[in-house]
Amino acid sequence: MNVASAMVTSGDRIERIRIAVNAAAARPLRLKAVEDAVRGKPRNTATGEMAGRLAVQGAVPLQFNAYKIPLMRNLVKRAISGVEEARWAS
Amino acid sequence: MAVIRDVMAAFELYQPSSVADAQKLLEQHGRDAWVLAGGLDSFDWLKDRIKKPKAVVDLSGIEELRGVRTTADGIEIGAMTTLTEVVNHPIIKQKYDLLAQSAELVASPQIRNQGTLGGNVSQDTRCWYYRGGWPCYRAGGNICYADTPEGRNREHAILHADRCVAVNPSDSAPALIALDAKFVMRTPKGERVVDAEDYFIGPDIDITRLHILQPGDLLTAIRIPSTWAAT
Repeated sequence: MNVASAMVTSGDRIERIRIAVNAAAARPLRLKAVEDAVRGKPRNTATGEMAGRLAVQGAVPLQFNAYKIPLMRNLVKRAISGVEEARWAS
Repeated sequence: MAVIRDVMAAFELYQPSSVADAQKLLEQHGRDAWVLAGGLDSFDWLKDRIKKPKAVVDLSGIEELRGVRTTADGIEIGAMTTLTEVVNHPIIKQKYDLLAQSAELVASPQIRNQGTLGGNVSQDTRCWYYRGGWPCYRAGGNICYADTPEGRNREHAILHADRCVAVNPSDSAPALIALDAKFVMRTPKGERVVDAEDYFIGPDIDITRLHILQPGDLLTAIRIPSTWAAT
C-alpha cells in the first residue's frame, strides 16, 4: 500500500492538496474527502489524525488484511502532518 | 495451479516502429492482441500459459514512446520510458520528485531498468488466485477465491470490493494522481486524454480490466502539468 500527496502550504496552513492511495481497492483512489477536510487547516498532528480516520471510513477488512486499515490511516496521517509527526497518539 | 514453465504458447510477434503502426496492429487484431511493453507483467502470463494471445505487439522498437520531453506546461513522459529513467531524470527529480520517489519504490533495480512507466500503470492485478489461472470472476468465472473464509487475502482490498477483491499494484499511480497527470492514449478514433484517476476502473465498471484501455487502444504518454511542480 502507498499514499502520495502533493500540497501547497502557506505558513503552516494547507492551501491546496491532492492525495491518493493504491492497493486499497481495485483502482488507485483519490481521497477527495480528505482533501476537502484538510484544506485551510494547519499542517499538524490533529489534522493528520483527523485525515487518517476519515480516509479509512467504510473500510471493510477480509480475513487476513485488517492490518491495512491502521496502515492506511497512518500513511495518510504521515502524508498530511509529516513523518516526524507520525507517531499515532490514540 | 496450471503452471507449465517450459515454453510459451505460440503467437505472432509484431515489432512496429511507430505509434501509428502499433495502434493499427492492435485495432486489426482486437481482442486477440497483447501489448508488450517491458514484459514484467506480460511474460508471467505468457510463460504460465494462462493468457494465450494470438498476436503480441512489442513496443520496444518505437522511439517516439521513449523519453521525457518538456512542454509548454510541464513535462510529457513517453509510455515506454523505463522506471529507472524516471527515477534519474534531472527535471523529474527537481520538480516532480514525488514521481521519482514513487518510481523508485517499484520492485528491484533490474526490474526498474526493464519496466516502463506505461507498463507500471497498466499492469494487471497481482492476486495469486487470478494469476494462478483459477477461474475467478476476473477471469470470467463465477467466484472469488480470495474472498472466502480460508482465502489467502493478505494483499487484497479493504475498500470498494465488488465480487472481486483484487487491488491495483502500481506504485507510481498514486503519485501521478496527486500530481494531476493526464494519460494520453491513441485509439481508433484518434487521441484521447484522460485525468490519471479516470484511467483506472474498478470491478463495478469492468471486472476483467484495471484500466480503460479497450482493444485497439494504446497508452502513449503521461503528461504532468506544472501546477504541482516544486518551485
